[in-house]
Amino acid sequence: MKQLLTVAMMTVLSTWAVASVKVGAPAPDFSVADAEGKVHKLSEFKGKNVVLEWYNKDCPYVRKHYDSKNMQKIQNDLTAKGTVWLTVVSSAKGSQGYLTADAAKAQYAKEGMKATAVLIDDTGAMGKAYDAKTTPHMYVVDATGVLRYNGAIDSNDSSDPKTIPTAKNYVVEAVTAVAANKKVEKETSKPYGCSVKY
Amino acid sequence: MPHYLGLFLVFCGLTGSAIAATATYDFPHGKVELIADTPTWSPQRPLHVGLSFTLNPEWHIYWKNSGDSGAAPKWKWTVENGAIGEEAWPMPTRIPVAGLINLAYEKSTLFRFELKPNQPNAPVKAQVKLEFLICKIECVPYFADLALDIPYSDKVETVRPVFSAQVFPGAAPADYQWEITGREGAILKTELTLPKGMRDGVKFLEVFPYDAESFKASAPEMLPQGKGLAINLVLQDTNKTSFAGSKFLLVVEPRGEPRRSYDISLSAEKTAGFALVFLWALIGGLILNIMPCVFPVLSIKILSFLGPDRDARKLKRSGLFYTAGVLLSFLALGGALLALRAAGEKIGWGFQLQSPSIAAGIGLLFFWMGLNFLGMFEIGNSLTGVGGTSTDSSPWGSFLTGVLATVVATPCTAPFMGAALGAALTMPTLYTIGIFFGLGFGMALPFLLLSFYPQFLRVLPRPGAWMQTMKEFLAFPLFATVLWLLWVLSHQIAVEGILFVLAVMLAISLWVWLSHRFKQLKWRQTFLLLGFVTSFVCLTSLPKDKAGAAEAALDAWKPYTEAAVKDELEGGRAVFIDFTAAWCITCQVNKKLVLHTAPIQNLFLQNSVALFKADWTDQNPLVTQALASYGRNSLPLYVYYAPNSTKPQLLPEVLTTGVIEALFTNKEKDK
Repeated sequence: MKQLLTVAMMTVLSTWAVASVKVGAPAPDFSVADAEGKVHKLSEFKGKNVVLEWYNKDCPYVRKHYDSKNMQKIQNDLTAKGTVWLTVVSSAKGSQGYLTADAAKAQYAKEGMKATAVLIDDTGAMGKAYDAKTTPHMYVVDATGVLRYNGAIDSNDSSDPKTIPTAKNYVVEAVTAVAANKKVEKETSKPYGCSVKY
Repeated sequence: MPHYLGLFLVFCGLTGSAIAATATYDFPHGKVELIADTPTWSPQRPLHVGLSFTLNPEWHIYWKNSGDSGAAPKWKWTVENGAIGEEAWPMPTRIPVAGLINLAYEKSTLFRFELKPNQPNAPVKAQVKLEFLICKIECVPYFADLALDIPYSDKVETVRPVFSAQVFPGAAPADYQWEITGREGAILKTELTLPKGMRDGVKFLEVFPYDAESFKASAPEMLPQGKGLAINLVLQDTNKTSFAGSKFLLVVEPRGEPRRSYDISLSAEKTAGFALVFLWALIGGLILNIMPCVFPVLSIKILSFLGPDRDARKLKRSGLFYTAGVLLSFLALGGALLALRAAGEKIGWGFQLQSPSIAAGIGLLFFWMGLNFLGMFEIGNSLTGVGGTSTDSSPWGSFLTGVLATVVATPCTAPFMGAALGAALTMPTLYTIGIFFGLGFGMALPFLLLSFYPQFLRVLPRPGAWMQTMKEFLAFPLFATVLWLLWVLSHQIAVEGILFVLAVMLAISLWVWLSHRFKQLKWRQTFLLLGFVTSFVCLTSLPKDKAGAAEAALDAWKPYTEAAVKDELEGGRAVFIDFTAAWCITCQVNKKLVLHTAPIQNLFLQNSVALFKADWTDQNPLVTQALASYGRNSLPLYVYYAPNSTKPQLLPEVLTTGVIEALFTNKEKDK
């Protein structure tokens, strides 16, 4: 009887799991290899807050945050405090921003990235599971695997790096709130930038 | 010396940039020009300036809400002898880019700004710092400084055509009304009322959300309905609950008139007046009294009035306490429902109600209740007894009867009240509480009145055999509800699932019949309870294969949207569009004899043709538009695009296998 009830509960829960990406609901799991060839799953990071960043090296909006060293600084600050940072490349082979594992390694060094890993999602499976639309499109998942933020990196969708200091960084705010066990003030925003090149 | 050189360079740089600020900026994919609507300005006429973009083919620049990706242009004005007033954005189009939708402009566009001059007899000098993004698939941002001097003159000049060619939004006239009518998961249902003269003649209609955080950029589904259109908006932020006041751009082209655009806001769902809702709940509560589950409890209670101790004061007190019992129970029920709703907003309430297990579960519950009403088995006599007898005069006894009456009424009310409770759930909290208060008060009212005016007792029908007959009869509406639930299920799961539910019902009947083998009431009830619980546990293994999943896999016909077709064409694929309707006989014949036959489907598959079905059964305006774009206003119409071609080929109205085969043999010849 108990087992049957468990089955019943799981049936109900599994219908939630297939529901689309929703802040407050479990974030979709994935299984994607990084630039070193190591396969990562969301579930392996249980207990840690995870930031997902969609990346395309040639997108002007990605350049805005990397050439100004803004992205590297946030990566450094957050990973130093124990947050996992996954940079995801969903560009398909032949599309702008596509990276092989080796190219991704070189890019990592060249940018001076501080991300935990660069995931090569050239099939776009992970990107589509998350409904990632732009580069950069940012997500914050908390230690229990629940999606807590979905949207832009900050409040100014200009491509001008001069706007960074005055913009509100939604990702830093979300991670800070999640770490302090508080409600994230801005849970969703419109992601800006180039379209993801699936 | 190096100092001076530096200073000199800075100076050159400054003057350089001042000179560079011309009215036109050329970039590799087009140009932008700062232009006034008339060459000179005069106080007799409002003055506008515009940023006029011309783009190379396939490049686009964004609207205020850029859609799924991209960014809107930004500007910062500095005006000498004047000030910038209102800005106006022309109407955008939906541009599909690799599965995403952009709200943008292709070829050329003009953003218009009102300019308010200060002093006459002097030129107005406008300068703008411009940042804009243009995209094809890849994106390029640009920055430009533009400047323009507009001299003063007292002659009135005509507006340049580049301004008058653009359509800018105005406020929507009062005969356009747009109301929210409901919500289903990620769909916000709305109804757009159109002006009287337009209802049967709209050539083009689209809506664009200004609020990208709340609404998706993709085109919403539209269907003609009542005085206008039902529009199902797709929500981006499904955690948000209030969408009233959201602003949209409405683009509409009435037949025979030019296209125009309006700014329009969604208005809140019209809720019936509180008094009316309360009144209906009150009537509903009154009706509850004659429900077979409730009436026995009440009749026993009422009989006690006729007893020897008819003390008027005690009677009144008893009536008041009973009312309090009913009201509190109903309010508790309402509170529970509100709590569920609050939880549902977090976990997706609508999602759960659409689950086949729940529909099947309610079906089983009603089946059990129907058998009970028919007298196949008895439950809860003892319960009814507790409330009825132990309470003669003590006020707490009356209170308990009230609570009990509510408790026993709940299962009876479910089939009749389901819809009403559903409505209560979607209403504001105050209304929900009002409904439950009304129901409770309505249910307590006859008893309350009787306790104050016992003389009316004579008018009431006496409990008797008719009650049993009525109870048995009420089993049939319940069975009808079961039938309806199975029909709902048939849309969710395959026929095996329906058979499974029916088999469980068969097992229930057998179980109930078997229960009569037990002579002792206690054993019989235990046996029944076991069967009751087991029947629901069985549902956990309900086969949930989707209805029609098998056919859907074979059927490669996707619903037509302009964007989807454009997307396929841009991908260089061949496209076949079947414009059809359920009422179009020729269409059905063509489908049966040619299009949906295995050889033709295989032929489409081998040549990787993207298949689209444009269904005109409901006179969907989007399909009307599409038909018009091929110069047609009737069915059938078959359109074929060869691979890497954007030239449509219209096929004959009566199709043969040969006509379709010719499409692909010709192609080979061309090669």
